[in-house]
Amino acid sequence: MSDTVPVIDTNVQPHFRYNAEIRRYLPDAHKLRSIPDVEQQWYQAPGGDYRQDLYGENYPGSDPETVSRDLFDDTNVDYAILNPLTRGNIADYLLNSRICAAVNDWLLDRWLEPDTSNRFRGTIRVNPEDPKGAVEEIEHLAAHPKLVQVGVPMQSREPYGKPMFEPIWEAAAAHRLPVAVHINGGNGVDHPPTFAGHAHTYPGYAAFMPLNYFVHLATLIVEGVFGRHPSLKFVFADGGYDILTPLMWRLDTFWLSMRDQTPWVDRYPSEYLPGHVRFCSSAFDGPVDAGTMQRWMDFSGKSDLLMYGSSYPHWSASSPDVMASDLAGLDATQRDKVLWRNASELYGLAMKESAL
Amino acid sequence: MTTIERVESSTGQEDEIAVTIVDTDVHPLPVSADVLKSYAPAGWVNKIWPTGNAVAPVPHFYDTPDSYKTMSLRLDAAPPGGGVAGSDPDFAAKQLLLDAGVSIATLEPMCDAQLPQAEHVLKSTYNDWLADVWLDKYNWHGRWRGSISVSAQTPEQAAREVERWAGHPYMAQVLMTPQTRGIPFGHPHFDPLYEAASRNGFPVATHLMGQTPFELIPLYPVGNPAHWHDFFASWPLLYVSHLMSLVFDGAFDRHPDLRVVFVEGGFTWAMPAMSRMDRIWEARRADLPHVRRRPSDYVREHVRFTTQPLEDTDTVLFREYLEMMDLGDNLMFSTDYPHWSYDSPAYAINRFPADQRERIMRGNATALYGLPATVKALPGER
Repeated sequence: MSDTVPVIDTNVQPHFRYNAEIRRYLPDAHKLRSIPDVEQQWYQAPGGDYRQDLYGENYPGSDPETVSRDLFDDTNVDYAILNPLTRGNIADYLLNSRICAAVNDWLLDRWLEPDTSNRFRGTIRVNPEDPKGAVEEIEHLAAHPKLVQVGVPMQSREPYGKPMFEPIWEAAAAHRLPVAVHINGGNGVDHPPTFAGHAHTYPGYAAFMPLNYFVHLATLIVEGVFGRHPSLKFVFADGGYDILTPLMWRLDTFWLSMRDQTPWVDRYPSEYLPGHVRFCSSAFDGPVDAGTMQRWMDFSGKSDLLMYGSSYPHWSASSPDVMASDLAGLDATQRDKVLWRNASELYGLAMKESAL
Repeated sequence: MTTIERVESSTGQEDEIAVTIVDTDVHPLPVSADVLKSYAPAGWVNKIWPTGNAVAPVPHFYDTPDSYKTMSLRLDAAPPGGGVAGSDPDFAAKQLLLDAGVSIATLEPMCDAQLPQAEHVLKSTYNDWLADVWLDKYNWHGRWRGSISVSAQTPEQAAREVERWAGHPYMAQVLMTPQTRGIPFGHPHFDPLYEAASRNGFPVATHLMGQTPFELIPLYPVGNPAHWHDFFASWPLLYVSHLMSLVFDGAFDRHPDLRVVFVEGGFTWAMPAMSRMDRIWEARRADLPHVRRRPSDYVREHVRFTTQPLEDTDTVLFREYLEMMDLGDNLMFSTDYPHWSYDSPAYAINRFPADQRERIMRGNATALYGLPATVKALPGER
């Protein structure tokens, strides 16, 4: 498809060719530190986290030419936003900041600067447990024209609305960079992934983990972060927009009763969504019955919040053809917003006239 | 105290009225800690109530509006004769049954303690108190139904506690905290309890225990919010976590007669939760050989949700959502009387789609709990 509809893929994970490759980009003082591998995590998918056909001599998603062919040629993606993993919330937060910087330097060195097609865009990975270092990394890289967002892990020991993180969001907003929150690989000092403790199966983990975004979102609203930073935008890259409507209704309901405790929230929490929140699509969101999709998207105005993201090279990767087809159940206006229009506005990516 | 006199009709028979509204979440309180202590084993009194006078020994960490004054209770539910809201069964009967029109109400006392033995003893004590006061002395009309509170930390003792109350005419369900110290509901840890509940036909209800030490509040995976509204808006994700565990960890396969009631944790999230589970299950069936049916099928058969607090969004939009969700067989009306966020029957019924109302207000609960079609009328009630 996509002969007529442009596509921006907002969620692509590039990888190092092999785990040790990151060490080339680490300062000498950190080259010999213990760092978890990409698939070294508690909740790896049986058989591997990535598409089976992409495992080879090097990691899936590690060769720019192969990724270009898979995305730009085979599925007619126009732009791809690269959001690399780091290695989890490392207890040594200064080491973790160096890992983030190494990932950023590698992304520029291997993906963004050699790319003459001008179709890859990148993410500045920062470590929220080191707010000062995170702000410095944003200031260091924000001017680069191909770095279009800041990236942080979904995993955190405090929700992102808490005050210690605000300098990071302030720096991102000052540079008009959205902040993408994405489940991070690796193996860090994280809490159990569900509200009831550890999941006992991989599907139990995979079904629940994306939903944790809501705690970040609720605290960003209730602590007043969005109110104080009108240009700040958050992208929840693992989906979870399916549960947005019920939980935002609930937040609206309780805000009405409790608002004297947080008087800086001067409107219904749901009113912050259009100006501040976006989601990448995921294979697990939305109704099983496509016939209800259009209506489902209308609740909470989700058509304006959702952006297509393939999750390539993850095992659950989905092509834009599926999102555009009747299987997804979107109407033409919703489809255009999801496949490119929302992302084009968020990242300032001008689409070619011929493509429109 | 308010007194609701027994009604005798001219025929000598008490008047019967049809059951039209079942309230599946009502909170009774002892009139004082001393009353509760009188039901506790003597050796435990000073351990469970070390300071002597608190009915609930710890404050709310996430406080509701003006909670220093209100204790999260409806101010107008305070009995005229004194005491806190929910401590006078006959005043509650007047306000909830007679005035609000509830036919039968399920009582769910709130209590928890940190250590396993203390949790068990405290809950067992509450059961003796509830059975004696609410289900016997003040239940000539038979319209109070009770919950068997059990310890989540000691499932073998919980199973024995269930057996202790089996056959009681007014105990309707088992009540367990969802704040299970990091053990999801589908874990085999709970199997003895689920076996006992299933064997005796008791659904297992779960209700947040707000008045617990902070360590017993679930650890949110990305950290806990600071305020009641962001904390409690996120709370349904605890129930989503338990529900996914029940399905994916095979609890409904191990216990085909198990019924689980999620109380006061919302229910509109069930639609996306069911879709997510179905999609993952379809994609990863090889990882779940023990899950034999579509996840949403288990939910429809085994799970019920109580309705309060209804989300206060546009009424027409809300009804549309409920029609789309199509869970009319799984929802049970509740008020949360006498708590501050009470939903009245009149407010609630208008927010349900017309063809789901009867099931939600009455039918699903009478089927689940085996409730009668008629109950004795209170004085002045027709």
